[in-house]
Amino acid sequence: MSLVHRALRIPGALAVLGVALVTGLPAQAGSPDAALVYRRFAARVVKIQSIEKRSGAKSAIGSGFFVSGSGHVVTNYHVVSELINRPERYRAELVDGGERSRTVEVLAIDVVHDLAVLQAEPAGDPWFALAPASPDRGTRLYSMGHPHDLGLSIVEGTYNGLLEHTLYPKIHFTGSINPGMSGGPTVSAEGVVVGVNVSTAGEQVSFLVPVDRVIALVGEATRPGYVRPDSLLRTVAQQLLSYQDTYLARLFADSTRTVTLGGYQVPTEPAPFFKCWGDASHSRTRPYETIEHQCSTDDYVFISGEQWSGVLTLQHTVLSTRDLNRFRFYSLLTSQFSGDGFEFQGREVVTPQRCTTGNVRQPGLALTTVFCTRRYRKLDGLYDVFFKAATLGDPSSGLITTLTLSGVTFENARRVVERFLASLGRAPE
Amino acid sequence: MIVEILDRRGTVRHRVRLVAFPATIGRGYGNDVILDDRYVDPLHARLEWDGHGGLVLVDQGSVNLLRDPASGQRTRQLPVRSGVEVRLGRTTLRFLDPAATLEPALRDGAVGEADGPIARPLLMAAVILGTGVLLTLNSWLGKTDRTRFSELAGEALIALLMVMVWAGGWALVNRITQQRFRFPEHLTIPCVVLSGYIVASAVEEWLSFLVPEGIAWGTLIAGIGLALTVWGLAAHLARVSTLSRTAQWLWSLTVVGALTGVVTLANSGDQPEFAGANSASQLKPLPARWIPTVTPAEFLTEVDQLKEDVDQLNDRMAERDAEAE
Repeated sequence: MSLVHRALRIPGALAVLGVALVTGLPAQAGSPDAALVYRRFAARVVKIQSIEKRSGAKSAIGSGFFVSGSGHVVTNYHVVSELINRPERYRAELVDGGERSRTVEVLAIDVVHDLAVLQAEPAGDPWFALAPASPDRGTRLYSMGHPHDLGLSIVEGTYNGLLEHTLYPKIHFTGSINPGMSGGPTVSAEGVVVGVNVSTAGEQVSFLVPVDRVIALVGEATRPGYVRPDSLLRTVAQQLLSYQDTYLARLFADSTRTVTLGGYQVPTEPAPFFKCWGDASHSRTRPYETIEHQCSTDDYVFISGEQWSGVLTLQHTVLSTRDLNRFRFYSLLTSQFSGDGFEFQGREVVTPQRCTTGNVRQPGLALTTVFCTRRYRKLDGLYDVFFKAATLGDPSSGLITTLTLSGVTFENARRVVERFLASLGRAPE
Repeated sequence: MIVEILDRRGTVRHRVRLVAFPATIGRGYGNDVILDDRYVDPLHARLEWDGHGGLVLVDQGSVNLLRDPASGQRTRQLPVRSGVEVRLGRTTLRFLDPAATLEPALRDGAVGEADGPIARPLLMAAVILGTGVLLTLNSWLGKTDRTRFSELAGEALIALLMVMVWAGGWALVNRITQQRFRFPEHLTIPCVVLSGYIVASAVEEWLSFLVPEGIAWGTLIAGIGLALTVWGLAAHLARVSTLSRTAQWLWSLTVVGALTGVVTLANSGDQPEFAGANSASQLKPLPARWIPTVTPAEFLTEVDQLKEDVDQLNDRMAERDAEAE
C-alpha cells in the first residue's frame, strides 16, 4: 500500500486527483441508471468471507460475482489469500443476495493480476457473461460490492483507460471503491463487466483488473480436464517466477537510458513501468549538497497480509562538498552508505538476510559494494535482493546507489546487478 | 613473647614485647599489657611459665574469663604458643614468638609501577591532554555538519569529566585502603584505555575498508579493547590493593570476562537476524588506485555463496519449525 502513497507524491499525480474530484460530483447526485443497474444485476454479486476455522468467525471479507451457471465466482486473490497461505486454518464461504451462505473452494488463481476463481455449489444463480470490453474514456461505469461489510452497494464512476507506466495492466476508475468491495464487478449500464475492483489510491482514484485477465483465468479454470492444483501456494510461486522472468529479462540492457548526476553517469528508467523523480538540495546549515534521483515500479504483488513482492526500486544519491575535508566527507559517505536495507517482513515469510561486501573496480570507478539477500520461506526459488554501491577515491564527491529487487530468482537478481554495475560510470568530461 | 592487640577487623592496633614472666594483663595501669576495655578486669590474667618450658595464660578470677575467639568457649587457663589468639573482654590478643620466621615482604607492584612510567607527572599530563585532543579530533572527524570548535571541545570535556568521576572513585578507594589518593594516576589509566580504544577503532575502520573480506577485524579489535580494559582494571587494583600481581590480573580478567559474557549472552538471541548485516561498511578517502579491488565478476562469485547461505538457513528454519510442531 505504501507504493500507492508514494505514487501520490509525484506532482503529476496531483493533477489526476483534481480531475477525479470534479468528475466525481455527478455521481454523488445519483442517477436513474444506477438504480436500474442495481435492480438488474445485484443478484449476481456476492459477499466472500474468509472464516477462521477454530473461532468460526470471519477474518476478512470481500466481494465476488458469478460468471457461470455452474457456480464459478470471480474475486480478488487478496480476498482469499489467507486460504491459500494457510489452508489448514481458514475456509471461505459466499453469501448471496438472499443472505444464504455456501462454502466455496479456490479453483484457480492469478496472483500477479490479483484474481481468483472460486467454485460454489450451483443454485440457479444469475451470472455475468464475460466478453472483452473496451469502453470509451469517460464512459459511466457502476462498481458493486460490500464496502466495510455494510451490505451490497453500488458506486457510480467513470472509465479512465489503462494506467500508463505499470508493470501489469490496470484500469483507472474514477469512483470510490472502498475496502470490502475488492473482487466485486465494475460494469457498464448494460451489465458488461469491464473490470474487477482491486485497489484504491483514495479520493476517487480507484483501480480495476481488466476483464480480459478475468476471461483468461476463468477460461483456464473451466477448461475441460483442468485439475485444481494440490498446493495453491506452489502455484503462487510458479506464477511469480514466470512473471519476474518476463519483466527482468531486459532490465538494464544496453539500451537503458542514463542520466548525469554530478560527475557520474547512472542508469534511469530501466523499463517503461518505472516511475522516476528527483530532487537536489543545498542548505546553508549543511556543508554539503545532495542530488537525488530515484525510480520505482508502481506496482506490487500482494502475496499475503505479511508479504508483498514484485517491487523494484533504484536510488541514486550524489553528495558533494566544498567545506568538508576528505576525512569528514567520507564520514558523511559512510553514514549515508550504511544503515538501510530490506523493508521488514516477518520470520514466517522470509529468512534473515545474508550480506557480502567488497570493493569493485569498474572502468573509471572504484566502488565499495554490499549485496544482501533473503529467501522466501514458503515460495520456492524466490529471493529479495538489496544491492548498494558507493564510489571511492574522489575527495569531495561521491555517488551512493541502491537497487532493490523483490520476489526474483537469485540468478536473475545476480544478472540484473551485474548489468546495473556495468551501467555505472563517470560522466563524459 | 610478642602480644598483639587486635581490633574487631583483625588489624593489629598495638604490639607489646614481654621479656620477663610472669607478666600481667588487665585494665589496671600496673599491668605489663594494659587493655583499654571496660569488659576487662583490672587484673585479668597472668602469663607464666608452665614448668615444662612453655607459657600458660591463667585467669585471675576475672568477670568474663578467657575466651577462645573462634569457638567462644570460656576457660581459666590457656597454653600459649606462637599464633594463639585469646579474647579478654572484648579485646582479642594474639601471641607471637619473636623468633618466628616471617613471610618475605610483598613486592609493592603498585609502587613499582606507579613509580614507573605512569607516575611521571609530565607523562601523566601528556596522556590526559592527548586524550582530550584525541576525543576532540575524533568527534570533529565524525561530524558532517557545521560545528564550532567550542562545541567539540565541550563534548570532549564532558567525556573527560566522566573519566574524572571514575578516577575519583578509585582515588577515594585508594585513600581508604592505602592512605594515598593518587588521583592523577587513576585518571591517566582510563585515559590510556580510552585513547587505545579510539586508535584501535580507527585502525579497525581502515583495515575493514582495505581488507573487507576474510578477516574479522571487528572481533580482533574488540579483543584488543578488552585486553586494554583488563590492563586498566589491573592497574587500578595495583594501586588500591596489596594483591599480588597475578591476583590483580586474575581479578581484572574475571570482572571483564564476566561482563563480556553477560553482554554476549544478552545479545546472543539476536544473532541470526543481524549476522552478516552491512553495518561494517566503512568508506575511507584513499586515491582510487591504492584501493584493493576485485572485478565485478569476482565479486559476483562471492555473491553466489550467499545463495547457499540463505538456502541452508531456510532449511534449518524449516527443520526447526517442523520440530516445534
